[in-house]
Amino acid sequence: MTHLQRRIYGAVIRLHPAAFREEFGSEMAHDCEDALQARGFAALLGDAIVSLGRQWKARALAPREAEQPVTSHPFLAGQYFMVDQGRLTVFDLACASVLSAMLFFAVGFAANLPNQRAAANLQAVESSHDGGIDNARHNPSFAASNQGRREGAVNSSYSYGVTAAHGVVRLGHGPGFGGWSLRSGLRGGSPAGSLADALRQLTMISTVLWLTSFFLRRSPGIGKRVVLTALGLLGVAASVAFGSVPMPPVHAQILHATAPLPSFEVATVRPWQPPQMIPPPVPAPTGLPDVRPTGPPRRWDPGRPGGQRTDRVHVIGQVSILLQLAFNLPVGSERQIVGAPGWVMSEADRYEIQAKIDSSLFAAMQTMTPTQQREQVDLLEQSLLADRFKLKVHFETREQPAFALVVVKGGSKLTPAKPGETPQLSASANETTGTAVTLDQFVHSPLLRPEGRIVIDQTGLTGAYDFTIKGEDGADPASFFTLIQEQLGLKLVPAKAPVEVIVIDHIEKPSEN
Amino acid sequence: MKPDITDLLPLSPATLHVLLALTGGPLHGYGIMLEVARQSSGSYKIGPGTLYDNIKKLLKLGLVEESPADKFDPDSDAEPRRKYRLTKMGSSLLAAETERLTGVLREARRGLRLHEERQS
Repeated sequence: MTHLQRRIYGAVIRLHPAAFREEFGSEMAHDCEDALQARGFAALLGDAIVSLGRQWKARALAPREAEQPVTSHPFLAGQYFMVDQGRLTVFDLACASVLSAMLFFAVGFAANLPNQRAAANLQAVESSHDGGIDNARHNPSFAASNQGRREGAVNSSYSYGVTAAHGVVRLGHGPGFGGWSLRSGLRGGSPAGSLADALRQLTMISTVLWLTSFFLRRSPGIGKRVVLTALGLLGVAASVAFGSVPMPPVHAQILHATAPLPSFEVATVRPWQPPQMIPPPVPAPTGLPDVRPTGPPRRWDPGRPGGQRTDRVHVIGQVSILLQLAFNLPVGSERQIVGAPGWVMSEADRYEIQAKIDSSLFAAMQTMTPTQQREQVDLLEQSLLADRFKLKVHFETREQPAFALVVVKGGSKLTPAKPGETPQLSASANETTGTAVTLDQFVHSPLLRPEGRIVIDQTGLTGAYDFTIKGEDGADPASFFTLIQEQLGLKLVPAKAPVEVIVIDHIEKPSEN
Repeated sequence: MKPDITDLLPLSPATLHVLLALTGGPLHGYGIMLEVARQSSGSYKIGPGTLYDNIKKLLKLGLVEESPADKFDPDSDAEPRRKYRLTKMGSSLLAAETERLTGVLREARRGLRLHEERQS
């Protein structure tokens, strides 16, 4: 018997059910060696293959052996049973793999249906709001105005209220504003759509249940084993898909409360209307940065974001902006708020919030880092939204349109940072400057939110760089794409990415103070 | 309760030949294969796969059993082979099958004789 023949015959023997293989495998191999001369290899191999089919058939159709209770201590009698589970075979694993794959895809498909509908809604929004909000999103200075919104108490209102009145940033104006109404109409889905989704999910679940019962009915012994193995494999697949090889949401910066929310000592919420007369610019308090877009460039320190310097918080804006602030989303992240009624996004429904932080909490905040201080204020704002707007939310990760930042063919035009430089990003109305900033920091900064989408760094560049993006006053916001291509040698390519979103379960207009 | 051996009839050709091969005494697998070929004058041969399919079934039904191993031979390099032998029940089953086949044979001969008489 040649080595190849021995290997082939051995492989066929190994394909037999484990119990048979262990009992008769070596005997079969011996007998094959002995009979080779007289019978020929082809006949013996054919015989082994026929035997293989018979063994698996017999195994699949074998009745389940009775489960025997263990004769045990009288106190435990009848409480425990020993089940002869047997060993898993290749056949068991194959069946279980197929079943677990079907389960995995069925569950995934069923779970994804609502997301597909939501994604369709978002697409509808994207194609419809071609006006004001997009313009705002293109404007780095607007995003920058998010920073320090609470730093100067009354001055913070420039970020959201007065800036709009100044006409520097225009939220929701123009013909595209109607797009949000469309979104509102689509959000909940039509009853017919919901019914179709429910039917599809029901069909998928029924199919899975039928397949499972089929295995159990067909042969209880193997069926039970296959189902158990399938569930095990499903668990492994799920852990690999969502655990060991996680798909974390990109830019998962949404702030989640991990403890009971703190509350403002006192807070007033009232509807706000833009003043008829443009007030004279209010000088920034000493020591505080001026957040007005028309003023000096607003600085954003990637490593040390500013903290809370007073015990007052003053915010003016539509509720979507309040939500973005409270959940630590850069302004322009409306895409990450799902399920909101139209008035939440409407500039016609702006509110003014004036609140005071409890003195003991503010004293405690003085020992915190600036980041921790900002988080405390975020949590206070979440508490306020829950209390006055009856806000209830949950969080989901959804695939949303994004941009990938890549290097153009000619290579990047970034200048490596000089040693010792302090990382800093700054933006004015027509210029964005980075000093010793990594591209990862840049894409995570609020300065780079084209069309309100998140940006994924796919440049492969890991160092820190100095750069400047200069635009012209009044330039088309879409030119930002051209500017970074021409001046940085980088390009924004449409992409999709898993993004953590805030799903609004309930929100209502605030009650009177 | 002992199973009714008549429920196992008729036997498949392979089972019949394996049982028949073991009437001469304990044999290992290849020995059974050779004996089957000899008994049928080479007209019926079984391979190891078919053989052990049947051995497994016969062991489970208690129709054959494993024979005690031969005395260990330290001079032999060969791996000891398992041998199988007929049990009493196996022998009874074979007798019942032989009886059945005898009846079939008798009936076949009678039928053929009558057929030839009608033809002539």
